[in-house]
Amino acid sequence: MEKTSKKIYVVIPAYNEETGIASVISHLKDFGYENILVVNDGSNDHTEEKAREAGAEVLNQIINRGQGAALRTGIEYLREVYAPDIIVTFDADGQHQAKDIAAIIKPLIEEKFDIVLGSRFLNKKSNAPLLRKIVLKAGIIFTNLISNIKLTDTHNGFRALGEKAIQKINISHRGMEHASDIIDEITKNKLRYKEVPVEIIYTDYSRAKGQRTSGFAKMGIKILIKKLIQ
Amino acid sequence: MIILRIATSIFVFFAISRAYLRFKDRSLGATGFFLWTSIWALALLFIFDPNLSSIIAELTGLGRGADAAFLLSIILIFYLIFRLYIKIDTIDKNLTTLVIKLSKEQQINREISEKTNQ
Repeated sequence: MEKTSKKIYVVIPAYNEETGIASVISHLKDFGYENILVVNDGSNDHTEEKAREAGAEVLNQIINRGQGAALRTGIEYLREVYAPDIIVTFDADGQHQAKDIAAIIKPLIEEKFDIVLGSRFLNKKSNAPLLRKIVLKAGIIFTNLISNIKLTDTHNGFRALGEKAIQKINISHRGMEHASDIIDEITKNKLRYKEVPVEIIYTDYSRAKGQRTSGFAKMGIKILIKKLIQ
Repeated sequence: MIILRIATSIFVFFAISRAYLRFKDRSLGATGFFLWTSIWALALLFIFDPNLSSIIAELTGLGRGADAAFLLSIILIFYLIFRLYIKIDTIDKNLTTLVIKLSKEQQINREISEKTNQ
């Protein structure tokens, strides 16, 4: 981690991640990120204990409410208790690389952006399976259309929020659709945003843990219904 | 036809009694009770006087009485599904807010007790 006076916190939503959570935390610590908050989203395994043993602060949601709710818990808690300068959102399944955090927070520190979004499509490093790539691309077109924004990767959980984004962003969807909420909040609050390339490593474990490809259609319907009701 | 009328009447009175019980224990508001009673009373009227639906059909230009009743039923069902969706969504959101609040408070209390024990 490059030296900075900024208070940087990493928030990791986790559901039944006892196998991988400790290595994700130690991976972050190896890169100098000590302020790690794990939001245990109603897991019924030993995620909480493993995360505490690995040296992270852990918040427990008594029942599983989804990744969006877990992120909301983490961001609200950090905002109220630690008043951080930067919050990095990071996945618990080992897909994200701690080495990319330096690049993702740099525009917040040096270029006065409010939020930085990781993109797996700005470089060719990520090893996304073909079907996942097609579905993600369709999702990008869909989200860009309904949110009136131009992004290359709309459902990447790797992001960095600066002070204004921490204060303004309101996540209303409790599930995976929260990614669209964040994009809507960027346009609504006129946040200055930037995309930076990040490497996403797909492993058998992350594929088993992550969002199912079929779940993207359901997610699209939920987003559309929300737009219709509002 | 008589058997159908009797069966429908029993069902309608049962439905109205359920609405009344919910109104009595305050889980249904006065407007809701009035709305439900009116809907079931209307259903009863249609069963006992099928010509009534023909009058409505003529007034609205929908052709046969059965078509008018069918269309009205579909509109009503869609409306009820929409209301249910909104209600479930509100409950779901409140539940999430509650879980978030609890988890934050639990952690804050944990930190306070850890500091006190030190």
